[in-house]
Amino acid sequence: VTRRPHPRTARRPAPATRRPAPATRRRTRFTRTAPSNVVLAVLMCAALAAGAVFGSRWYDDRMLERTHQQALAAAKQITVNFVSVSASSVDRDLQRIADGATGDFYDEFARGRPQVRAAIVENNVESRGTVLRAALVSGDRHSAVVLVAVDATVRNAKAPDGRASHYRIQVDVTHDAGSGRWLVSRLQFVG
Amino acid sequence: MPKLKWPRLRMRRGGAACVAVLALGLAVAGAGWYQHEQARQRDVAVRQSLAAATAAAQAIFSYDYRSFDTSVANGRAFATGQFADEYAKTTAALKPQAVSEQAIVRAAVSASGVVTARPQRVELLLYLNQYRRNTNVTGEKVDQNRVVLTMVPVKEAWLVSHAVAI
Repeated sequence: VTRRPHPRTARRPAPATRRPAPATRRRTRFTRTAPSNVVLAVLMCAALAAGAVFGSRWYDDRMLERTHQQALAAAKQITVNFVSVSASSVDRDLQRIADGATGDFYDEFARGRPQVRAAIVENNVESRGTVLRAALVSGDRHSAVVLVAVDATVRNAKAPDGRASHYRIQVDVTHDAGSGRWLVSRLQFVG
Repeated sequence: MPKLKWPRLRMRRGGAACVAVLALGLAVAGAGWYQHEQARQRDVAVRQSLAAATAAAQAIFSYDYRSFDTSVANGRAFATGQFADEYAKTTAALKPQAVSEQAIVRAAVSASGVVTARPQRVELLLYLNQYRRNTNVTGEKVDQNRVVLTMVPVKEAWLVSHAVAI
């Protein structure tokens, strides 16, 4: 700030003739505004850098939040599917569960599927589930652990009027990179 | 004169563009910082409330007829606001029965997760077992509950402001 007045006062007497005046004026303007231009450019770069850094953090937070919501939504849907089976639509219901499964859960389900099917048909089971609450235990971009509190009304040969069941389920969900879907890799009833 | 105006105009335009980019960068940085700070505070809230919830739920949902008042005082320490009053009322009404039945209820948390989270309010889902002993049951009976706890920060500690079994 203290250095500025010097070149100004030093250069002011320079334009003696009228003709070079525009050029000199132009040059003077350029040299005069140069420092502020540099400061502006530096500030601009700093603002852009800050914008990039904090903007990307914001973006990452949003992406993680979205990922958690997707994991929760998938966990809810697949858990409801798991407790909603009906003798009249048994094959479609079981296939829907298999479609949402992967890994160990898929293998276990596939192994037990014939017996499950037989039991549903034999007892004329009709079960409808609803999610009361879903909660995230932990999660990152690729996997999550979710608690799903589910109630179901189960009708079967022994209880034709239906019986209310209260479940405490915990599922591990994994993001399937191929399909982009979240699938259940583990399902357990918490004791 | 037009020859003179031209560079000035260019300079002004360049300057204006610079200032606009500067303002945009600052705006994005400010908004990003604020949002990230919110997310960070939410993470802290989740961590602290989850850590506090297990002890809180165990204290609130446990009691022993031999030291009923101590049990209740212990539970009361984890409650805040209207829920604290509600808890005091409920437990006071429960005491005669608990003593006559010689009831001992021990609560244990099997799992806990986050339903919703904000920096000043976290809703948690807990799978809570209550192991009950009294004169009406032989041995021990287990109730498998699902409890939703609403937790709020009060002077550095996270306390229960609402609890409901679902």
